[in-house]
Amino acid sequence: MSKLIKADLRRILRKNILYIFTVLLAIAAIATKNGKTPGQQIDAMEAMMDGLGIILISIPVLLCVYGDEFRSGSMQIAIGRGVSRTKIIVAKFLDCVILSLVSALLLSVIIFIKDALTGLPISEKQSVMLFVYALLIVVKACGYFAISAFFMMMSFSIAGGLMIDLFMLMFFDRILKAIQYKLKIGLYDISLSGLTEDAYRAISAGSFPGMLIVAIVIIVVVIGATAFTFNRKELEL
Amino acid sequence: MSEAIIKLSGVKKSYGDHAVLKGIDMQVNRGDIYGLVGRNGAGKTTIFKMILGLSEMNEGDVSIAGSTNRRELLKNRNKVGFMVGNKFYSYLNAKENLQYYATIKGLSDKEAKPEIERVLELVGLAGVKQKFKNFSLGMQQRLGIANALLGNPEVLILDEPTNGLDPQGIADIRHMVRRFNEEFGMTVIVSSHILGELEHTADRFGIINEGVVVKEFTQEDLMEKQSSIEIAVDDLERAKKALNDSGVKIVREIQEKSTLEDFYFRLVGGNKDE
Repeated sequence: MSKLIKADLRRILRKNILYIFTVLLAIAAIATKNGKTPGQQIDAMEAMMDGLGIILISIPVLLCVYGDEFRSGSMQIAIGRGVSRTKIIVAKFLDCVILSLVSALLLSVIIFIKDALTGLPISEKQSVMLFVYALLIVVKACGYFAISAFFMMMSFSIAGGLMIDLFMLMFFDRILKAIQYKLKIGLYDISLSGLTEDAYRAISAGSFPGMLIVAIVIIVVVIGATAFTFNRKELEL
Repeated sequence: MSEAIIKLSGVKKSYGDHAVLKGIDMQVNRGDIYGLVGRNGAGKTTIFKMILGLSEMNEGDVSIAGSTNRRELLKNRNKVGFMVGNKFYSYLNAKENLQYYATIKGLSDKEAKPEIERVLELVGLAGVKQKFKNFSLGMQQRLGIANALLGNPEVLILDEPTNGLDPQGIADIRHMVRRFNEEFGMTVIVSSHILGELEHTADRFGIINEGVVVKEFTQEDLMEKQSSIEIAVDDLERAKKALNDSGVKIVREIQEKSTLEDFYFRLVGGNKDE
């Protein structure tokens, strides 16, 4: 597994698109309008992370991890060399986790510097919670990676997977919230957004983020389903 | 008794109602250059897919290097190098692409570096710096073979390796295959629908037609079926007279033209055996 991840990350780091999007992410963070109070500043940064930030993290990760794989067909060589398909699925997902974590860390550093430059009296707890928020964004992004990967591994369509990911990032929460509001069915609460928001509130209040476990279980189930179906998929040479 | 390194027993594969393989029994022995012959669509690539685990068979059994269960089969696939299509990252150069696959194969960076140099040298791509997207078809095929050679596999699978190549490229691949077999003791399975090409390369053959291997045979079997020999002489009329004088009856006289390949190499230079 580690050799698969090592090989993948090494080739991904040669992709220009990764660096272009990292620069765009930095610009998005720097260009976000500062708040007038520490609370407003934190809210503004969280909104940026959950909006443009998560999109700018997700697109290059999906393109680099899965897109090239389908274009080059190199997965077939790995399988032909005796690498199990389940390992490939898990390794690809872990590639996504590592890359999005690194992006989120970088984004956090830029935001911390930006916050410091505003001269606002942001407390240590507020800074820590902002970092926790960034990590929860990664959990949410990884959940969407897992769901997109399911469709991509079935269809070998990077465009389809990217569209599903963008749909979930941009519209899914709004649709679930509307259904929850109109029909009084708690769909949003059990979505990855709802679960990570709940986890954030729990951590903020100093209690155990149980809903984070539920979110991780959902992600693991999706990866399991992907591995199950991909193991039966006919691959072309 | 020859040791089977790849063995397929009763392998069946259907896509819906269409049966592609109808019970393949095939044995490749250690040290063979095995030519898999068949028309396009006969099932050659599907057989490779079964061996490489890219397709699940409906029935039957595949064994690599004596594997007796699925776990051993998966492990022994690491003993197989294969070039089928050209699966590379367009934005990486030859070394970077091979580095990727060497890492997957489990070679450390220290082991990979000389190994990559070695295989690139073997296929004549040492010193090539350009990215894969700028490779000619011949270079792509060579890199495919270099990749298959990584880690010195026991078995080399080449699916239509000469497709789209010019005569010199075809001759180069043929020479490489024989060299890998003779110098490194590699077992090679090579498929082609070009019979003349395989006849020059392989020493054992399997003919596949409509999803079954209809016949397996050797170069020697082909020789035994010959009832004539070909002799080049400097004076045809004198040779015919000598035969007549010694009481040998000439039953048939065939005047053969040069093959296109011979003619080509005579014109442009180079050697089809190199």
